[in-house]
Amino acid sequence: MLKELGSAVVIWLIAFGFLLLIVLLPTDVVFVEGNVFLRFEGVTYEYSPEAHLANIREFFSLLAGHPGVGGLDGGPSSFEIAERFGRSLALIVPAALIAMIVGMAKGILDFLYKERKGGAASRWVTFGFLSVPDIVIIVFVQIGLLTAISKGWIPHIELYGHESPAQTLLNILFLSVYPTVFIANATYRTLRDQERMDYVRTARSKGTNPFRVLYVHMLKNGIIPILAQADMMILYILSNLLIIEVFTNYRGAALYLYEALGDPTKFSFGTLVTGNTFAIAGYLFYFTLLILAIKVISGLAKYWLDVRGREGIL
Amino acid sequence: MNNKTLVIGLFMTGLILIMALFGPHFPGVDADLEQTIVLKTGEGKLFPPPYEPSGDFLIGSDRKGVDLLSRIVIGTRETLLTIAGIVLVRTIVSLSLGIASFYTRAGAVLLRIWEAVFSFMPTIIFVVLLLAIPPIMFSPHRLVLSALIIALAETGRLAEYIRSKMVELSNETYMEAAVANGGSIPGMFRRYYSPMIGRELTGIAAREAGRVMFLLAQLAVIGVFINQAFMSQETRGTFAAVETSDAWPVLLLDLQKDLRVAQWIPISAMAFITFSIIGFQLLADGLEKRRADRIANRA
Repeated sequence: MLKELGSAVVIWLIAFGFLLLIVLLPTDVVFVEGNVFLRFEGVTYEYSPEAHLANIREFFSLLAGHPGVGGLDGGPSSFEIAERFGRSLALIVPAALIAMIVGMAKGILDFLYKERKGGAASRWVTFGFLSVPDIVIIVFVQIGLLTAISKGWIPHIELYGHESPAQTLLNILFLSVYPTVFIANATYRTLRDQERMDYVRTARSKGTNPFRVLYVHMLKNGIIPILAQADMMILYILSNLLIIEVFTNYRGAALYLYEALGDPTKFSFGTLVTGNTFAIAGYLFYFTLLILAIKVISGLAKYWLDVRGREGIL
Repeated sequence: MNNKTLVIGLFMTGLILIMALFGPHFPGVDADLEQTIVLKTGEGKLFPPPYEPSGDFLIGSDRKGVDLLSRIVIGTRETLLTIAGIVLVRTIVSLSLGIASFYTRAGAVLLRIWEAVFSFMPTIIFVVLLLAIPPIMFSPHRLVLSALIIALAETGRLAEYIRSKMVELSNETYMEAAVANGGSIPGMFRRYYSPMIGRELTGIAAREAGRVMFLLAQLAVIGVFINQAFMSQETRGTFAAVETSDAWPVLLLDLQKDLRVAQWIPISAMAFITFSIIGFQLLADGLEKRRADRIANRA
């Protein structure tokens, strides 16, 4: 088990290193002027390993020189980065918990009622929410709220920003939709596969209580494939987090990361707003660390929940 | 054939395909995408675009006064071509990586590292990060490069799927028999593995097409488009990216503003995007079901 956790940490370091290499790519481009003054013809760019290496050296020497504080070039200090990440965590953690609890419950119910009409309808709901991009759901909820506010049905709430609890709650809701149906789908499929197993058939033929069969034989054996999906789930949550924070102007780490990268749609001739590499590296550090944490938690849960794990066979 | 999923999926994707192929000739579709700069009301008042849905504009107009329905129908071809290109690249790279990882140790190691590293990168963050790099941002081949990035961002997952299908097949009893009978690696690949992969391909393509459309819509919401050109602005020396395409995701530009002023633009764009995603998904699910039914019938 320790070996597995160790390898997760090593892979995290490789992945973060790889991202850091991308962030620290030399960005010096030469703007090519056309015949007319200030006419943009394009840029020329030449990659030089020396410049890349120099960037990396500078990054680490600055990091060593300002341990923990940062705030270079008007960028955020590491405290600010951590605070903003905390604001994102306030969305991620509840959304992930909702996804695991509600998602698994929905998957189990879908499985139990799969022969009934309600069960089939519920699985179509899962399919629908898996197919419809979450931004469509967000837009319809917002249109609904905007209409309700303009008609005076509900008191005015600000839809964009991060200051009020209403915004946080709405964003948690938006963020949890996709992962919830994702986990529900994974749970349902796992249980359906488990049903074909010999031990389930044997237990049922012996007249064991159906809930006992479900819990002891199917869920305990199926928990590993379901937990394996948790790793995927966090990736979806983080991807959607960027969309939601940018779209609703919720000032968390994902929005700041997006802003730190520099606006890719505007520039002035000869000057290029390059991203603040320290800030970008900082946000990426926290995001990848969160993914590592989820991997470790789901790994530990696997050992704790699975009989084979406890007995050291796994 | 009792496979409703497949029938509905074929119907939906078929409709989109017809729109892409014959859209410009549809009645009521303005293939030239003419802009109506001002609109006069009965009392002689002038209105600037975007126009609400009305008799002239069935589902409204875009911000330039182009009939929205025409623009969406005309944009179908570009949208589908973009998706097809990304799916093609992703499938080719994944097939090579998946097959290599099944046969060679180096391939297996490469795929493991690839998957492990990418499992720490949310797709959208990875795509946004790479597209912000100046040589990519300003490249004349930006379209190709960004399509390539989107394609590669999820290659590991697909390659792993292909590998797992090959492993699954290799565990069948008749495969053991084939090995025992002295089947050579190329011969076995030709007779067993490649037909299996061939049967999977249509389903894979449909599923990936749905995923790519999903991703393009998400990217559009945060202002990331794969085809853009830089145009001079009023202030000398400043340039802003201008969308040069009629593809569907482009209509989601300015989404926040449109939600208050011109709700019909994002609603129509999202309706078509969602329709196509569901169509692709149902097609993929239907194909999967058909394979499962066939295997069940054989047994």
